[in-house]
Amino acid sequence: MLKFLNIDKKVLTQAIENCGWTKNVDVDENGDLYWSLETDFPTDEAIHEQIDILIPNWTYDQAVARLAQYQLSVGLAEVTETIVTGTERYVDETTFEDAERDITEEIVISDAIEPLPETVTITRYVENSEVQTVETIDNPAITKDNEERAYAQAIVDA
Amino acid sequence: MTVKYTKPEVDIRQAVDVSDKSYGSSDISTSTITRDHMGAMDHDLIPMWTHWQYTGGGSNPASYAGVTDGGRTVSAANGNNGNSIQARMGGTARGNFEVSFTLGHSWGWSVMMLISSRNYHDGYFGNWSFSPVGDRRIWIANNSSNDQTLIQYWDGTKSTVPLQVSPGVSNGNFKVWRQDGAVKVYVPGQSTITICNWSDDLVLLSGNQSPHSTTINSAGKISF
Repeated sequence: MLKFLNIDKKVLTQAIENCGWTKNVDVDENGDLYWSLETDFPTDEAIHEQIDILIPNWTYDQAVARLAQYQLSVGLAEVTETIVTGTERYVDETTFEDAERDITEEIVISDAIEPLPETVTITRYVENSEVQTVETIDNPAITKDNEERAYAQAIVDA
Repeated sequence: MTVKYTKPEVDIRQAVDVSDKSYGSSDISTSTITRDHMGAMDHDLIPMWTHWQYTGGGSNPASYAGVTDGGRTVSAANGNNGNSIQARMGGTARGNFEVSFTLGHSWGWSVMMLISSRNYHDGYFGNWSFSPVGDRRIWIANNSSNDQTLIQYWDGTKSTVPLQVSPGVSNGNFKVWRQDGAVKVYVPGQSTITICNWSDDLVLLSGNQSPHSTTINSAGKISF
């Protein structure tokens, strides 16, 4: 379950056709494939194999890139960088000599991202009724993220 | 029906306002010139493709023509899932209307798509994953690779398939129309299908998956 991103749409289509699939397939901007309500389409693994023939190491590179993304359950710390914005002159207190030093400023490269909550609460209503049930489940976004990371890790480890 | 509509290059009211009133502005009662009167044709359909949007990097008009037949056909033939173009039919459909069109029969889906005009924006492509809550879409499509005519309807909460037939249509005149709030579709060789009741002003769009084509044969308001 690697998204079909970072690949020319025509090349991806050719790879899928090389799997023997001649029916329609479409890919959206999120890298998800759509099979026109058909069911007997090729597996992701078969498609990866054909892409790697057309673009050597594409699957490995995508797996590495997927693992480089932050984990939704962990979040991301703020990333800052110190940059030089100018210089200033001053008197060195040790040598009492005139000297020059950088004026620096810390800028935020990327904001911190909080981890997603581990669980989510779902309230279900019985149709045409006031009756409701409340259920707490594992956060499906985290579950999906973990599955995708495990899949990518297996490709890198292979 | 052929409709010729030329939008005024200036808003007459503004022109009157900024001009010397002595130029006969008293002859034109401002209250009789409203946007509704001036823009009445905005609520009719104009049978030609407008708002062309190139996709897949096919943005060089010198390399191929995506709209032909004097604006009635939008098409792309740049390989499977190659560079392509999508377009919007001129105007909007308010009240009763009828559109007659021909869908291509090639690898990509040739499409006539209907969405609410309030949800249209430049760059709207309406792909397979269309599922906004509370929004609606009718997607009428035809291709040769699945060899099907397929109609999908998203009602705001779920997707249904009012029609899925094989073989697809290789030559024939499709129709979509609204009569007293009910949107209906005719697919050559099939019975008329009532998709839903939908009173919104509608925008009609082509597909964008090369190779594909959609030709407008006629479009406009209609009285039943």
